[in-house]
Amino acid sequence: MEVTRRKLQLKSSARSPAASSTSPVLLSGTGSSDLTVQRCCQIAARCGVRIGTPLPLARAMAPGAHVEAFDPVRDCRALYRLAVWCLRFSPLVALDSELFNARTAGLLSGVSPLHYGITLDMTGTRRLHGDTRAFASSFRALMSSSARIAVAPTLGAAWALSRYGAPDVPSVVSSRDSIPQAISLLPVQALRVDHKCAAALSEVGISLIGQLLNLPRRSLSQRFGKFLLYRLEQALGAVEERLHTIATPRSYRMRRTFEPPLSSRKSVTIAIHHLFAALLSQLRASSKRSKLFLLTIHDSSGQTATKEFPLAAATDDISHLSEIIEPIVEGMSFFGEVHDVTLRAAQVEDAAAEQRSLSPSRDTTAASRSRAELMNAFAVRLGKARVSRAALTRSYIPEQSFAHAPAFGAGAGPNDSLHEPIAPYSLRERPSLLFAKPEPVTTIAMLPDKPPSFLLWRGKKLKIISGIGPERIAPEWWSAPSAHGSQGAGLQLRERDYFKVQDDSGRWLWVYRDQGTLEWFLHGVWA
Amino acid sequence: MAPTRTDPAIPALPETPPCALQSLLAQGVVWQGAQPSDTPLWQQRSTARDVIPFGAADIDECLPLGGLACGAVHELSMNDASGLVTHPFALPALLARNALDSCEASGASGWGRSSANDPCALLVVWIGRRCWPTPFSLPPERLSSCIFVDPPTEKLSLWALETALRSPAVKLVVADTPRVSLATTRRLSLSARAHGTTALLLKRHREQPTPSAAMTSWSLTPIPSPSEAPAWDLSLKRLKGGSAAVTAWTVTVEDDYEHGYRCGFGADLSLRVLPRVVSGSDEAQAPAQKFGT
Repeated sequence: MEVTRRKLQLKSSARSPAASSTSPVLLSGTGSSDLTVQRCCQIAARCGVRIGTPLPLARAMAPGAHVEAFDPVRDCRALYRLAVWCLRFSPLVALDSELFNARTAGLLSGVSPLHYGITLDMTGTRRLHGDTRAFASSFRALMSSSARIAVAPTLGAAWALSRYGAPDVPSVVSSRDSIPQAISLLPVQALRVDHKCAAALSEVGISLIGQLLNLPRRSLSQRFGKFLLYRLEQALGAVEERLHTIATPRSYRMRRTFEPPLSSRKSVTIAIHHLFAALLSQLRASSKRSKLFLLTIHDSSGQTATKEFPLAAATDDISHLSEIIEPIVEGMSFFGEVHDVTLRAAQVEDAAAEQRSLSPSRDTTAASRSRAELMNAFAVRLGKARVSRAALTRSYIPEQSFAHAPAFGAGAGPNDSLHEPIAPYSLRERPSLLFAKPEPVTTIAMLPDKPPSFLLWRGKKLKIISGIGPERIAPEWWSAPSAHGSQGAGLQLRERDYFKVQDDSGRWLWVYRDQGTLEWFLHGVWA
Repeated sequence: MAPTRTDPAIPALPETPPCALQSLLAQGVVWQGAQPSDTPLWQQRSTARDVIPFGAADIDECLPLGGLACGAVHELSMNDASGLVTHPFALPALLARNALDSCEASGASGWGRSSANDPCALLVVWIGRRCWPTPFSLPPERLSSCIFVDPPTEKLSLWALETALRSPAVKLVVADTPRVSLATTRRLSLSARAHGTTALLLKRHREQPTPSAAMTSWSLTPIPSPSEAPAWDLSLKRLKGGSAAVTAWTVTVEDDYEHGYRCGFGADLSLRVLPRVVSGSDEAQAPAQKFGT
């Protein structure tokens, strides 16, 4: 018994996110050498712009055009999102096979716009959607009438009809027997053959599929290759075709509705704890872990309280998690009675199996777990930005010779730290306390190029009894001046003359004079 | 009680006969520091006589355990007369270096030398941006073992401090705690003792020392230095449940160039005790007052 497959081919050519619907939109290549139009909207196409038109010419043809950079990866991603959305109409949704292969190979830029399409398998959905033709029309209306839609029993026929058929009305072919009649007036390019084959066919005067259908098949494959015949039989339904379906992104979420609503905060805490336990066991069952939990609480006054739990390391330990979440939930503000709690796990990753050590003294698993638990506690309660690690950098400028980076994420490994000498200095040369921002001081300097004799720092007058210097630190010529220019700190980096001076209370201070403005700054203290 | 289990906080007192000490212990006049427990020996980090040494023999030998006892809370305040510098920086960095070195030397992380990338390596947590040391005053290979936390409020700062103290992954917590109450220090001491971690609280200097349950309390006073290196008067204000022979030292930090040039000076820092200049205040040399709790 043969299953009739009806496919709905959809080609979305609408793409005008920024511009209004009346002005033409052009997408051009980004390189300086290929300033040609890569994609254009229908308005621009009516003005005569084609793919490959030089951009200046296209601007002249379609005045007032909105030009953006052509980003095939982003386009493909948007199409994928659209395909995910289409999963509500059919359980099997696929991307165009050409596009799918190019995306897998990373060669998206060479894909023709004809291949940006989505295939829906409509087999067995008649009970859901009713009449196919009515559904196709309403689907087109959903796509704000910019999509080209065709329904056909075979993928090849649907592809041909959607790309080369009537643009305004969804073409629907209901039975396999009527396919030849429906596609006979389409050009041979609709069979998804390459340019060479189409050119060879046009040389002998064949431009329509109907002409091909009249020819004997044997001579066809001998003269024009097997591929043409293969595509023809695919369109007619004699050869099977594979769909590159997309997988449903599985979401991990738990929701509990309370009837009657919960009024005590303690019972809410317990309910959240149970939700966490249920979600963790669901994650563990599919051997996943999550690094980000999103908690949403709806209360009876209509307010919604949301809280994120960003973990530093994924965990499936409920006792550890509840220890972390409990103080947070206590601090959450929700009023009245709670009638709905939703918990969602985002950033789900695969859980790697853990190997435990036999030696109790060198249990790396336990040690790294306890470290991860500490970081999780800090991350959730204080936020990831407030926990950092430090690393030395390749710079001689004192305040740029180290960097505090967030302790989480890819770049936070210990591999970043420098071990080879970059700045050879000792405690005699660099203070133990370095101010993040040099503090301006008022000075009295007797002689130029000598340390000052008085400092006015934070309203206190310090008498300088001895000084060592100067040590000149110049900006690094190899780094661009804009990188640490006047933005941010508002401190233009210029040559500095550093002095190590001692005040009369015996404290050693590190002051410098900006050689550009001749102003004095205090940069550190030996404390 | 077993004769081998002596209390870490009580030094040997040669002039006191052992029977007197026993009776004092029995009466509860002198508290027993460590409690006997049933945990296996390798898990008893707090009773393993772990210390964080100062690295200067003159100081370490005067302290009952030869350094700052692990599993306890210690306090350090900066007594800067001008009030311009409120926190010590070189000494905590040096103590953090010593703490990480000592847990490597004692093999706390197992067989063989542990590298800095070892996930077993214990952490030093710095809480409060105002007390973060400049990274080049720490050894570069130890920077991966340091975590810098910047809590927005004082309450969260205390929470972070206690959380860190309770973590088995932590060796030392250095925290900027300008105001801590007696009850807080007592709670922190209990956490530290239970988990074998050490806390170094950087407190604001006060003339009248606030009541505290810290095991030791130190004060740093900057003094004119004879060399280019900074120098301080380091004084031991309090040693809970014991006494030290000397309670005041004049110290300076120095680094030797013999290791060759390095990125930063954190690895080469050492504490050196200078001959003490007694400036009329002889009572500083007197033994510290003994505190029973």
